[in-house]
Amino acid sequence: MASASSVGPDPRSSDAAVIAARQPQASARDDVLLEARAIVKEYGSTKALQGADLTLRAGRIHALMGENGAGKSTLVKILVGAAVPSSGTVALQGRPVRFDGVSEAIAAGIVPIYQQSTLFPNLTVLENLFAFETAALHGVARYRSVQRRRLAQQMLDRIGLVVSLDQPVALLSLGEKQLLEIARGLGRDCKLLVLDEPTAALSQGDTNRLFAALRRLAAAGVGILYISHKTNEIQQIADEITVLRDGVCVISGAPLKSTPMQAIVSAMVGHTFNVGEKSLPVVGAPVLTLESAVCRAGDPEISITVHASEILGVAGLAGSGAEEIGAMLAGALACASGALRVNGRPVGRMGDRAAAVAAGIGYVPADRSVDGLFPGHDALRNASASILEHLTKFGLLSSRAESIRLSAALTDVSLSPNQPWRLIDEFSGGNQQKVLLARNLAVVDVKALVLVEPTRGVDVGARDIIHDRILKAAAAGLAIALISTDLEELTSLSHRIAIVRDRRLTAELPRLSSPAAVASAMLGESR
Amino acid sequence: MTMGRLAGSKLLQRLPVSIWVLALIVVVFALFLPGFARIENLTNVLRVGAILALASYGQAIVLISGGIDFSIGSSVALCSVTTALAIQQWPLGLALTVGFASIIAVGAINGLLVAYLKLSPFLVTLGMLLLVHGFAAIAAGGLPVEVPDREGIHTLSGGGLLGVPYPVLIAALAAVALHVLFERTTLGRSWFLIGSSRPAAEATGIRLRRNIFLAYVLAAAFVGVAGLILTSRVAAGEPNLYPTLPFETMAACAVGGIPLTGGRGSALNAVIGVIVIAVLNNAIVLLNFPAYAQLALLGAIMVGAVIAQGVPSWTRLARIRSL
Amino acid sequence: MDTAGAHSVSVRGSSPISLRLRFGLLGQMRYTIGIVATLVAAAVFSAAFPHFGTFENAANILSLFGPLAVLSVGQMMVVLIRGFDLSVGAVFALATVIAAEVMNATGLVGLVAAPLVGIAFGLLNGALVSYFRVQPVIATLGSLLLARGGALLAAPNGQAVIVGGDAQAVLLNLQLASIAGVPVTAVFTLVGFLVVAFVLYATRFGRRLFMVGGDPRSAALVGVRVHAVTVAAYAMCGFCAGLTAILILMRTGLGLPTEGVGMEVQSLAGAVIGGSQLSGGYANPFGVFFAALFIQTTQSGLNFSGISPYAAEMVMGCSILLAGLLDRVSQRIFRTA
Repeated sequence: MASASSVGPDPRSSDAAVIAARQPQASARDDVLLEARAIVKEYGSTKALQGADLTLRAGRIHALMGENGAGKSTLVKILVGAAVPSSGTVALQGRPVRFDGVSEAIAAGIVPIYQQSTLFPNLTVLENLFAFETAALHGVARYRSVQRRRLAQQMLDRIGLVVSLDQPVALLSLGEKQLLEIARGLGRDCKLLVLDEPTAALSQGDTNRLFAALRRLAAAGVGILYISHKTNEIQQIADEITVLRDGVCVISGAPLKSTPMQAIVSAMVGHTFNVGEKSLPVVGAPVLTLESAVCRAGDPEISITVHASEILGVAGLAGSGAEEIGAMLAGALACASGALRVNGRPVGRMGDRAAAVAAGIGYVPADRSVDGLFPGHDALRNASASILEHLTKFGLLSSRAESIRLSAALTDVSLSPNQPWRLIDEFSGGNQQKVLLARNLAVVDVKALVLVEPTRGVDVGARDIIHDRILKAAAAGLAIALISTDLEELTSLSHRIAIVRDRRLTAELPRLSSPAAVASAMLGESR
Repeated sequence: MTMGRLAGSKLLQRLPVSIWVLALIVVVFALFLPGFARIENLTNVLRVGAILALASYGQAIVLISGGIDFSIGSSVALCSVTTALAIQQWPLGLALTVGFASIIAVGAINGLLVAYLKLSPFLVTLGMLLLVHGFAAIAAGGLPVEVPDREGIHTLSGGGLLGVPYPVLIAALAAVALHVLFERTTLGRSWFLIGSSRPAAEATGIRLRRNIFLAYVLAAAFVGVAGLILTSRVAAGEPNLYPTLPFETMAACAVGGIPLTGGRGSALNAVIGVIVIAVLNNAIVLLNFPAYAQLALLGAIMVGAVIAQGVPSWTRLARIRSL
Repeated sequence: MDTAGAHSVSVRGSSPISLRLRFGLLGQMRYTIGIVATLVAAAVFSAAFPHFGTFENAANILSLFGPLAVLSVGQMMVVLIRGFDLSVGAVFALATVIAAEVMNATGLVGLVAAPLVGIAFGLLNGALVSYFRVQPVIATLGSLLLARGGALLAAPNGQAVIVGGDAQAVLLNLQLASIAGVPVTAVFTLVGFLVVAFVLYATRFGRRLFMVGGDPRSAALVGVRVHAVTVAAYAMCGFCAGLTAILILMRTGLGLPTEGVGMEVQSLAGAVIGGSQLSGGYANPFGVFFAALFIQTTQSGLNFSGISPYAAEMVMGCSILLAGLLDRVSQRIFRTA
């Protein structure tokens, strides 16, 4: 701990000093801020990192890419103090450091911003902005003072977030929450900012604001580590790139201008990858219809029809209501009025997933770890959950039938490693998503699929496999609703794209619309 | 705590950790504790354990589906009181049915409140613990209800077949029934899924409310059998029949490897946990430990067992790949 | 056992105005239920029984509700961080026995043994729940059994330990004393609650409790030492159990090993009726203060009516079911479940 505290302001100093030290310490551009060498991390017999190097410089935005399981998260954990390397060194501004916890790293000027929200819904915006201090310091809380409030307002202004300081965070929209999180991170005295998939739930406008703020910070001498799967964003914002695969750096600190995207993708995946145009199947008769559905009294009416072999993209910003529409289509959301039909026949009560499954509607919800998977059970059990009634012989579950049926389904989605008896927790995010897809494809007499963010947090290789499988399902006659904020995914896979804004359907864009067209449609009139 | 099936797994690898603990304890006691290894003593251990076993099967069902049941002790007391009251007027068979039905009624109320009103099982069953106990005490008039010496009242608890007491036979059969319920019925499988992730279970089309309600009702069925055996043994309506029963069943499940967070467990786990507790209680009696030591020791063992089971998962958690 | 049940399919966007209302006005309402309920109960019983609505009876109730109130606020601390403590009843019984015995040996100063015993068990519970990752149910159940066994062990023949000598006189005087008509014990209780409120709302440590209760994972990621906070919360709960022991010793002058059976359930009800949520993140000591007052008022009222203590038990059971309903309703309104 001793070495870390000497490079940053002492967290136990008086509040005035803390407030005064808000300006990022000016480092000359290109000074080496952090150098990690030969990092090895072992968990039992598994080697998550096998000798990774990373050099981060002041004023540079450094991208870190890699498939899941490549060791990205582990490396990041070590840098922010959440884990300790098994061997290898980390040096901050020339001095070797070994953090004994996240607060030490934060005190040393390394500020993490995670993909999953680290806000506290039961506390106010103001309290959340000072969460790092509250975590580390003792004594009487003084964030109510006028000085602090002014400081908090500055933090919000810097990112352009307009919310009341006293609002409970539970009330904010997803995009607002993410911006708040970033505002909190940016506001600290910060030498190195570590951003892990920060734009996962951001609209294009919010993303632009974030990038502008990042560029300002870089100009002021802050080093930035930017972890993302989104190749187009990396090209926009990053100066240099490191790619991890299987625990080692395949590309290390290469300048982005001189590294083609193809090289980066093949470095990640290990082979060349063709991101070509997909050919879509011919559309058939209407299959899944939502008629005049009103979620709660006063909400706009939603009517949607998805045809056989059609992939209907549904695009909307976080909080626009697109995910809700997906839930309605899947029969997962009870509505005040309206009807859900499959091939003309009504599907029980709305909000009755059991009836929806019986009618042949598959559903992959947005947040797989909360709504999709069954932790502690193997992949096979996770996959068979929707068709248990059909796996019985003489009224009793047949594990043989389960095994045969679902093993085939899991092989069909290229589960890797193809070991259905392994616990679902042990698979990567992409493979978990494949299991969810397999579960729904296995539904007896499946007629429609509602997929919400099917490739969120999924590495490039798995993403392509999932997209292929979706196309195959469409070719086999399924009606597919694809709710996503991934513009590339939407534009390459959809026959047409429905735009959702303020909980109503505002427009429909044709096949092969450009991502920019979709983005501006999602935003509506200029803001 | 059954381990995930490994490629080419052998039967041995699939056994829960707790079975080795049990084996160790039994061997140590058999060797060093005088009086333990005698047939009469072991039979007695099983006979006493049978009641705890049946109640624990019920608790296991509720735990696996993500709930908990504190009202078990009060409902078996209610069973004894209603049976004793009914037997004043009616024949034995009918009276026992009334007793069984009263436990099912408690289970149904628990199920309704937890499944359909979505109240916390913790608060619901704690509230019912008090409600049912108070009701039983009022119904009994404050004193244990005397039961006229009726033919056959003691058969259920005292009788046996070929030297094996009925309660033990019943508990063994019930264990098999529980196993079939867990492994081979869609209802049983749904309990594991619901306990593992409620929202995911809902998304896959599992009927949450119906299945959770049935969990409490079927659990009550197992507890009901335990209640009948107890009633048969004491042959009286006793409002304070077995107040520590819910805690003992939780301890048995925890020791046997059924986590209180739900989603995992098996009939074998429950059986092993019960036998461990019964054997340890037996040892305390044989060693002439006073009653309070029994309580303290039970607590320490329960916690120790749960900690010990947590250890392998600490290393497994580390291996799990993050996002 | 999933009391938090995160449910992200309820992706309902809501109009900002209605939500602000929910958190503004209604947000504070959940904590005022205790006050309202107390007034209603007092009115009902006063109407039914003429001697109930007297100043003396009110003073009596005030002198009696202290132990439950203190126990409940300790429980509130633990519920705030998504836990609960089933051992409080047994721990405070043990504390009364040990404190009584120590006082008999060393005089009034032995009273300090009570909170020490409480803290010791609190630390044990906290360590089990945090470092050893044992579920709160099992951990505190285990301590309950340990404490109960310990209490029976510490008391000779399992009988009550009577506090003798000077200490006895001092305790008795304190119990009977009052300031401006308000019993001293009630004043102590109020002072205790003010301290808790200060810690909870004014200190950073208090904020950390809310953070851990609101989202333990986020708390860890921003650098809160979650284990330490958890242990501290359980230690404070144990400390409150020790304080309860002091209040009981003042009232009865006895260390009774079988005391407090069922108090853990009542203290949980007190915490929930006082506005806390079992899923954590919300707490208000004054809500709990009045919730305990309500429970005591109801119990006194039932005593007055002369009905069987078992009927009173049934009423208590019903109020716990109602507390469960309250918990569920507040989770629905505040979208935390």
